Amino acid sequence: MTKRHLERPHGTRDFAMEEMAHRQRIRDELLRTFARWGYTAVETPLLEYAAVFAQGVHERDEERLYRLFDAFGQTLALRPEMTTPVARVAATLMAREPLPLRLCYSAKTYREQGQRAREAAEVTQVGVELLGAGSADGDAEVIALMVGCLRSLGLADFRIALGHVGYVRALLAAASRPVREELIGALMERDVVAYERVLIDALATVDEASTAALYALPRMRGGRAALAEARACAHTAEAQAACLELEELFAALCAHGVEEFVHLDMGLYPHHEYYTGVVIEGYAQQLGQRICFGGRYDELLARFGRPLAATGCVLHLERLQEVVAPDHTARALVLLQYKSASRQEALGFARDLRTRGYEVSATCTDDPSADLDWLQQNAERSGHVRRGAIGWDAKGLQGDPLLAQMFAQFCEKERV
Amino acid sequence: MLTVALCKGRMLVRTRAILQEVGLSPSEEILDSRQLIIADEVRSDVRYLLVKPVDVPAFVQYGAADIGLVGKDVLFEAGADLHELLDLRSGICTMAVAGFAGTDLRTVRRVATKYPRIARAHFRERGQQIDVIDISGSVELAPLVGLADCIVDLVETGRTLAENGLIVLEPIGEISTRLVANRSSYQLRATEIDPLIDRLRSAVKRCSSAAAQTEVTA
Repeated sequence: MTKRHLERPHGTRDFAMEEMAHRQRIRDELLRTFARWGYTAVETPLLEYAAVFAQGVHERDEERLYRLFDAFGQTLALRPEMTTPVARVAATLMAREPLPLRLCYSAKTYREQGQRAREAAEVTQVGVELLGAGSADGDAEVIALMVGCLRSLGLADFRIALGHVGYVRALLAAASRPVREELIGALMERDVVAYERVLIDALATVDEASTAALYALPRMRGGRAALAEARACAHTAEAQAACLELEELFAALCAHGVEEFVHLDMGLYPHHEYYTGVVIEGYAQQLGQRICFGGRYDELLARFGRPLAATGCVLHLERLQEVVAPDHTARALVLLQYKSASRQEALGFARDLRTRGYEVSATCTDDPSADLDWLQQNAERSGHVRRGAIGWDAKGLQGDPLLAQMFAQFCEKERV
Repeated sequence: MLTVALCKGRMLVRTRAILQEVGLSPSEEILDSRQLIIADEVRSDVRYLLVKPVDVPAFVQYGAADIGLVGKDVLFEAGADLHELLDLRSGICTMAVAGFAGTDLRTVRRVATKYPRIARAHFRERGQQIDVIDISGSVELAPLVGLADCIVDLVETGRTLAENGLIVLEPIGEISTRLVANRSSYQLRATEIDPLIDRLRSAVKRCSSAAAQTEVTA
């Protein structure tokens, strides 16, 4: 018999103890950084009408929604991402708020597992959306904020890769639709071998200059030099416009002082169809999966009736937990053990400690077999830094000397 | 330190030659040593991990190695989350459906293979849902003893097939060695990886044009 009631659905996780504290610290730090940049938090329902996501989700992902039905037969879905719900809020609840809107969130998202190994069904996305800025400065703000976040977490070895879907689409326009789709599929998978094969097979149908540009595309990488390479392959107005945008973005990134963390990767093409401009992917040493991703999406909000340019980026909390070094500095954890006869002064003392910023657990132990040694061992296992037992000796608190002194002072004060 | 995952086994002679071609020098130990981590004799910032072919995708995907050389058959089967950067045009063989001559592929129901994903994908494309029998060796035996109607396997010369009275019924595709990279290493170590790709690319080009030359003169 399988003990199903003891297990979690595949692709989900529990968090507890040190791991949870680590997770909490990372999330707090991110939200603090967002706040410092003027972003305010939003929360949206875990469930939305599936039709909402049909406005945003890439068609390849649509079948990966977790769906269910409400009492009226409407299809609901667990949110697979946060950008679309935030766009909905910006176009409805916040429709009259002055622009630009700076919104942030920390939310669990759900997606049926794909074929890929180790893909989670439940992902915590901590991210920002900047709505109504629509300039290189807006894009740069989001990228610089991401760099700020990763640095505030103590990550040194990370890289933000930038691409531009407008540029890729401009180059791909030279190819026929079926060829284009195959090329996009290969770019998404980062399968350069398949990409070049499709290109070679399509030689007869694409002109020479465009073929050369498409051939060079996956290898246009690096700093500003790569941008020059991209410009040399830009034969259409759209491609040139994309290059100009990137140039201005680089200038803005310089002004933010984050240029060294960023490089171009023109072959970048994300799975989400709603991106329209710059796209962002962040990687850290030791983890083969991106830790953040995002980009510019200028058409999504119009689908909710409020045309707005927008840029967003989300960090993947579970992956950050793997790459951020845990903080081992001990917290001021205090354990008070008391007998019910000493409840009055023990709980009073606990209250007093908490107002001074200590984290205090107070446990009543009337078990006659619980002697001072047992209490000591019990406290050590639970990771408390300071421990005191009240009620085992008429004289006061046994255990940590500082705590005993504080308890004596507390009792003195109470008496007066 | 750039860590390169390589397949253990007879392919190593050829792999070493390719690496030497692009200015790397894995020490001779690589060929017969039991050591699993091999240093480069010239470049102190490069080392090699010797692992079973099927394990190369895992080593690269999880970042134990930055890049790796591995056959497309293994890659497809693993479905790993990797960058596939270059076809090295070496280790070339064919993935094929094989069985007794006269087997009607349209009526095939059971297929024995070491490559269940490839087998399923191929027959799905033919519009057939098959039962895959996942075995790990002596695949040619399966049709002989009635375990399966046919097999899906790598064919290099066709000799093993012939010795068992089997023939290729339908080729699925050509398999060759690929250069793969960890997604994060690809971004963080671009300055080390990109020149290597370029050198490998021109080496591959030189080799294949030389091969074409030989064919012409022969």
